[in-house]
Amino acid sequence: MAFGPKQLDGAALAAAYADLDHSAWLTAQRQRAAEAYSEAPWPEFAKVSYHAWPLFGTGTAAGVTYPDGLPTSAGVIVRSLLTATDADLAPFKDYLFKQTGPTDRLTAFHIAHLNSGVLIQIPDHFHSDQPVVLNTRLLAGQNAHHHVLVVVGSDAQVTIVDRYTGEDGAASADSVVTEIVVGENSQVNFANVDAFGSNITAFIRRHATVAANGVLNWTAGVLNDGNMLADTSTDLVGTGSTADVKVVALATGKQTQGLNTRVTNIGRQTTANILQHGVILEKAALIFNGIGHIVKGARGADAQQENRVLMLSRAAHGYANPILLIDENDVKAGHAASVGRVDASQMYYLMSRGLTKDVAQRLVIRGFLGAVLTAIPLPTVQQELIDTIERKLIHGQTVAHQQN
Amino acid sequence: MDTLEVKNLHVAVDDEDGHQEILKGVNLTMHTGEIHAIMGPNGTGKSTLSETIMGNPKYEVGEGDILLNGKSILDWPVDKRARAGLFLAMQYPAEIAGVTNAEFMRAAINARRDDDHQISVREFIKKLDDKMALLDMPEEMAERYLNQGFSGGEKKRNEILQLLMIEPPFAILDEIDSGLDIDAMKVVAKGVNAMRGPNFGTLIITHYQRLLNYIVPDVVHIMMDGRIVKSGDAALAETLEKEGYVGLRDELGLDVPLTDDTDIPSGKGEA
Repeated sequence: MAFGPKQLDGAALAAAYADLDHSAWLTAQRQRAAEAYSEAPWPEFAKVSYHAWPLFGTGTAAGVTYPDGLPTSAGVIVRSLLTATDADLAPFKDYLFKQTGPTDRLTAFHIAHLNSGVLIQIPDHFHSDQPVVLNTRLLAGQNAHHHVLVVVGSDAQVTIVDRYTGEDGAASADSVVTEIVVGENSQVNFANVDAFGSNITAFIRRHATVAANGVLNWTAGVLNDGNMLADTSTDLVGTGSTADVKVVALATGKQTQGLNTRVTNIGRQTTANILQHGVILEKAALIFNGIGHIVKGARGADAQQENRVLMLSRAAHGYANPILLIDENDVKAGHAASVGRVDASQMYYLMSRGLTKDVAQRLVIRGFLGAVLTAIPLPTVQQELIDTIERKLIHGQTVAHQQN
Repeated sequence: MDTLEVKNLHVAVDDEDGHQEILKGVNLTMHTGEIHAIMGPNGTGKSTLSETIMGNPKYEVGEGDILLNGKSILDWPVDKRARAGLFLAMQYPAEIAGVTNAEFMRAAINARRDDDHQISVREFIKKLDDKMALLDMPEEMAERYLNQGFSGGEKKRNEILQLLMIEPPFAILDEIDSGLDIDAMKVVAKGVNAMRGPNFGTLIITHYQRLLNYIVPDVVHIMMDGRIVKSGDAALAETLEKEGYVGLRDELGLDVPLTDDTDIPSGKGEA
């Protein structure tokens, strides 16, 4: 349903989920979101006109499966959202829907219609070389409204890999919202890879807060084939906290990918780095909004960002849109942005060694995306991402040859 | 034996001064097993000749032909010429971040092989180690991004490394000596001399005779104003070193402006 219903019936939703929710608190959250929905504004994605997209799917059945089950690591608490009781929710209630409340239309719809979710708690002082890996598969023809909350305590060190694939087949309208809490003095390496098919239209929102002296190294691979919105936001709340956010995106076919990547410096001496590199093939559109916001009082803050887009076809549309909002004087900020084509002198050089145009082009692109790819913490995920990109590029080149 | 022929080649480029003819009828025949050198003053078309043979799309051939083993290659794109046996060590090689030197060279070798005969990792690494040792290149150069942040000398060595890895029948070395100190030049010469043999021919483009002390050519060509004006053996380079281009021009009775020539009106602008 394009544009969505005018309002949501909270009581009817509560009744529909009465048997599925194991927590009255969760059901109350649905009702609260349903009430907020009609007045909530559309989320802001500059230069993306998405309002007519079919983003408002419903259905009480879970729209996801976990091909490898839910992660199990010693000391880590993992709960399924709908089956969690009030008691199970106790350690999570202070955080759940706090960063991503029903303040915009799509998030409000998401909370009201939640049909799956995972809650993960990483305890204080947790240290492990083994990453926590969560594989989630979005089902065809079944609308998923999936919510993930990861709470990392203080003085912890953890790598979390959050991967999404999709089942090919019937269309669905999915929302995936993730909240990440980084405790004091903790270091979190968070990597998400979203790679599902053109049958899925998605609203993806991930939001992190980082407490004092916390470090969040975030890498995101956005490789979906369908129309999608992805908001990746971080609030640097604590003094001396740091976020390093790297995004790689590949847009193909006729899809539109709209990405907001935002870091807000709230605490003093906070450091934000955003690096987004994207490639567009065929008739696709890719919009990078890089948003660096330094609020009043964030003295000594540093906000840097770089947004770059490469277009491989004349029919491609690309925007690299840096937005700097600075409300404090004693800060450092900088940005770089470009939208361009593959460098002709690089192509000539590679081809002069015998590489075909297609191989040379893929090599230049891989190099261009390399700054983000090499930051992905798990080698297998990194390789999978490289392989997916390679496959998509070959497909895009094949389509281009057929059109010539 | 392979043969590369350049016949009455006329080449123009479009630059800020408009459409300019740079090569005005170049003739040159070389075979594998031979080392040719082209010398000439600045702005005479040496680099234009090498880029045109390689197939740089910026250069437009107005007249004449380039033949590899009797077949015209004018319509071939640069990658096809490369796979057919041509190699150009460039004056200004491109820098490509995110692609390692090793992965690039492996792709270049494999571009010449069919899917069933790709070079094995072990064979590749062995060859790479050998060639890098020959050129006194530290191992880490293999894992650095292609030409990214390389010094001028490192870039030249890296061009020669690619030559040694790819082993083409014909190589054009475009001012491979420029910006090199004497030790680096000796290393580069060692690399080129290692390729010397019946299955390899090279065309060395240089301003100075010095490089030719280390890579002794079979044939020396002098180029001025878009043409080869004189050819001879290695002794010709030594004569030129003594007399300079102006001396040679006057000896040949040519009416040719020399770019770096301040005494004689060049015909361009106010002298």
